[in-house]
Amino acid sequence: MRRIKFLLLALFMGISIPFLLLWGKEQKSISLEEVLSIGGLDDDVLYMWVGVTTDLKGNIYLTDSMDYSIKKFNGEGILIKKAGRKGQGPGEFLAIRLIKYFNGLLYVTDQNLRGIQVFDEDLNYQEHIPFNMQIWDLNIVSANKIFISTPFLANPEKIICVDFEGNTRVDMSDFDGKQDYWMNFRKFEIDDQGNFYFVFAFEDRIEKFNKSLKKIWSKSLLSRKKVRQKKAEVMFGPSQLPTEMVYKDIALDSSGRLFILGGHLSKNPSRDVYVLDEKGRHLLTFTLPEASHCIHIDNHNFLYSRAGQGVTLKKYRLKFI
Amino acid sequence: MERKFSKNICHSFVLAIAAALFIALSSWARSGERQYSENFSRARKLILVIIDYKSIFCPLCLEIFQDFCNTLHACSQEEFALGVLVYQETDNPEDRGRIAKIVEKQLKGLFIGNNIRFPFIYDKFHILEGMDLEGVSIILLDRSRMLLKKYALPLTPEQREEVFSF
Repeated sequence: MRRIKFLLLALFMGISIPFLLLWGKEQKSISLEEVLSIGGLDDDVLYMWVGVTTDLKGNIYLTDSMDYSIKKFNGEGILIKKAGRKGQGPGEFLAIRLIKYFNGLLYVTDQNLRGIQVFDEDLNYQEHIPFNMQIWDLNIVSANKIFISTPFLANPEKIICVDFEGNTRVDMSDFDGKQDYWMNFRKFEIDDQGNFYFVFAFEDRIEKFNKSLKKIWSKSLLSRKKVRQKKAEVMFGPSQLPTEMVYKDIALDSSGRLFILGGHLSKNPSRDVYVLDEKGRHLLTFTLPEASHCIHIDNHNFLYSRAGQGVTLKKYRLKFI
Repeated sequence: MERKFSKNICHSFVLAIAAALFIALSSWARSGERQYSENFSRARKLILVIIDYKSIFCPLCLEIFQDFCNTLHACSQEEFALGVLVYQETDNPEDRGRIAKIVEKQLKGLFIGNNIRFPFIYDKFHILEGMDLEGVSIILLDRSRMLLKKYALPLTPEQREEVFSF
């Protein structure tokens, strides 16, 4: 009898272990297949791109901080149009940063100019949305509804929603109670159900909130929690400045998976991308070939990242192994 | 026969135009270089504008640099200016050539974006290292006044007077 039990157990383990191993191996890694590269060392296409977005036709839009421009590329990576120059007028920039596509329009921010400039798909200037605070991240969820993440010290709002005239529609200020300036630097994404996913720049914290702003989960991924800081003599604001970033960016794929770009505390700084499911479970980590400051995933799940310190944009097909 | 003859004439004409264009362009380029050197020898003055690579990521440094370039342009002294880009070498020797190219390209974009017209070279051999150069610095060589001075931007009104006057 004991022998039969032992045989049955061995049989069970013999069958189940390979299954468990296979299941464990499921989506253990992602391989990146480069499908497009825009800009090289010997051309004048990109000088240092900072923001990237894509439209539904596969066109790619980049902001270039060196020549203060927005550049539109077709799906083959050919430069179709360039707009913008240095200045403070309509269609002009001083420190061009983020670019987001929504419903035929492009929303562009500038670190040194307040508000959001709106362009059409042909890069023609349309309008200016007033917003009197520094913008760290933004997401447009519907016509006339823009969510903005701001670290501004005097106004502790962390995420607010404005309409196209710049009027605050929903005040979501300070919903988790912290008012530390540096802790307010966070990138975010919004999924189809209206859930918010946040990653913090200077803290090992990833969080999900539902659309009523109730916290669903909070997660840490790294062993070192605190970033290095240095003393800085500044007239206003904090005297301790963080010199490292924990998380640099977040992107969502069409299956609702979160892709989080790690910063200086990651094993491969600015190259490790952590993939989490919608419940916050860490599925896997993969590494970009080169350091990037941001990641973007388009509607066909292609991933875009920086190479050559911003003189090149790489587009990758994600293959789950 | 007649058709072949006219084809040959057409071909020779195109060649002649291309050659003339080439000669004109090369002599124009040479005259530009000559003009630049003549300006140096005539004025006996050289303004070295030394830009630390890190400063191109600092909006305030850029603003100060841009202001200086605007003044250079307004005083018609761009032709005496030469930009020198300094940057810290990467630890990995394999990356050095590539990083140098990236840095050079980024500065080129910055010059285009800011409409800066004077040429620049980069301190490939790091001869300016250890000179305590932060942000944007100026080295003025003025033979007529026997002046060799170093300044850090932004310039004081007195320094402006020294740098921009003949």
